Amino acid sequence: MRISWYLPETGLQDLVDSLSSFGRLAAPVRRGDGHVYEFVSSASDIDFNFTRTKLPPKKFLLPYKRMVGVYHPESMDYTPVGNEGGIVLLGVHPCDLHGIEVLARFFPELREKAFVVGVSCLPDEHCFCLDAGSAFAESALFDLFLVLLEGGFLLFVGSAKGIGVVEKLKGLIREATEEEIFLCRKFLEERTKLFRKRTLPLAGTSLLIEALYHSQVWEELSKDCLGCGTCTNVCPTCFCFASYDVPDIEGRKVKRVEFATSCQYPVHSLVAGGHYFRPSLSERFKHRYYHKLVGYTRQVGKAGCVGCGRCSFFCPVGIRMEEVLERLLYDQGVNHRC
Amino acid sequence: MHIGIVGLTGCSGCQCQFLNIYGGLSKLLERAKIDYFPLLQDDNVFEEFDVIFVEGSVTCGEDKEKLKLAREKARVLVALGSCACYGGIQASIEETACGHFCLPVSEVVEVDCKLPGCPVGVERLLESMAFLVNGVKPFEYPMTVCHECRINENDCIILKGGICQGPITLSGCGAPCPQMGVGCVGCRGDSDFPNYEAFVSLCESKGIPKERVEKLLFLFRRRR
Repeated sequence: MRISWYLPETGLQDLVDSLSSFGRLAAPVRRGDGHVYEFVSSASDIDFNFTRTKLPPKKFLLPYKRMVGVYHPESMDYTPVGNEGGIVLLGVHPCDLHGIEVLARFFPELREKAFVVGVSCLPDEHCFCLDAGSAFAESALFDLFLVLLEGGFLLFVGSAKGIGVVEKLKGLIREATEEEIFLCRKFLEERTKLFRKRTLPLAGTSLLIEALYHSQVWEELSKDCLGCGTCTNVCPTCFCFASYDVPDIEGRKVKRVEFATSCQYPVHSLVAGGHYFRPSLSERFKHRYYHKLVGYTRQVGKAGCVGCGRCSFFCPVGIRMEEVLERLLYDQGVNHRC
Repeated sequence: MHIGIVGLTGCSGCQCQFLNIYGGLSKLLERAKIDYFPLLQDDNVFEEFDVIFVEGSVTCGEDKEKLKLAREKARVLVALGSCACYGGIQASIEETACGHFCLPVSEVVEVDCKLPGCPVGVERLLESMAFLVNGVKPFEYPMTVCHECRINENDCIILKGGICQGPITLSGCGAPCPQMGVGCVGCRGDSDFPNYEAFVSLCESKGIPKERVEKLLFLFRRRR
């Protein structure tokens, strides 16, 4: 069986319909100045013409606020509440596919929960997935991958579930011609040329970053940081959460709620007794880079930065991940000791 | 459980929020009795309270007396709204020659819980009530308005060229202002250890003079 297929543009609705058995389908739609993943049922609502969505697909896989259980305040009988039912994510760029792969290494149940359909993209000046090693779908988690061509999609299969969907679409899809595969290769070649010129290979930098733990660069660059936490909130791989128990007003049940937090907030490192493990802005600032590039690599064998550029794009004061790393790793004459 | 709602100097908007919790109010009344709420009811008694909500800032001797009495009578005293928590807009004016003062509740008596906001958000109020009627201190987790704004997937006001105090303002409101395209004015007060310097230089880079930024900053925040 061939592993690449051609799906005409008019077949997108059929693809959407055929995926409904895997769960509710979320896809990129336009909202305000950007794009967001939203539940859709009609292919006409989907807009693939985007560079990055405001929030990563993480918002469905690991919701920012989620009820995880209920218990009775007297009997203390605890009932876990899971978000049952699968989810289909249609239109996920390679960087986010790698983001899902990273999350799935921490939360293995995500592999079963989501049916993921990737889609090809073009970079802007904030994208550095090529340097992060996540510019292509290979080695990431996906079931199907679409490459946008004129009038249709080249469709690649990434999992057994994906083969099942292709089977269902027989009659609509046909095998990709050599010409189409050639066009796809050409597209990937042109895409690679669009990335920023100065390359910054993130693979292999974890030791260097650890060695530069006491560099003055952290102190210097964190001065502009507002500590708003946007960088971690928009990150496809950040998963830190806190939880609390909220009683209902009748006093009959207590809900346990988990919510996303951020290492950029002082309260993240606050422990009983009032001690802050990361009291200063520069420590919190550094912590993010350190955890992304050193911590994740050691924990799950894959860096936590997939180069999607969201933290750079959405930072209100314009702190750029790639510039911070360039300054840290490449600039000579910086006092790296303090 | 006995509840009292006391108003000092303020617009009464936060007291009115008790009426905006709709269904929640009837549930609350099943578990608690509102003994004192002059804004809403005619028959009021001021004896012993489990929880007293104080709205408004302290601007005169009468306010001070009222507040001290409330503290004596209440097991738990909650500062309701930004005036009670930080002094409110009226506190942003420098002390006048005739000796007027404008203090947040916490600078006169000990406060057990702060519920800031102008006005305090209905959801936050209802959730806090649920904690309080069950004898638990309302959960606090200081994050920034940006946290909620990003999660709502609003367009960033700052990136659009506007001024928004979201990055240095305490979360808990759900970021309704940026959602409507209006920059956050910081009504909920400071987030943890806000970086004023960076915020001022951000505004200056957009051509807003420092004095103007400081005026904006301390509209609701307590000047240190």
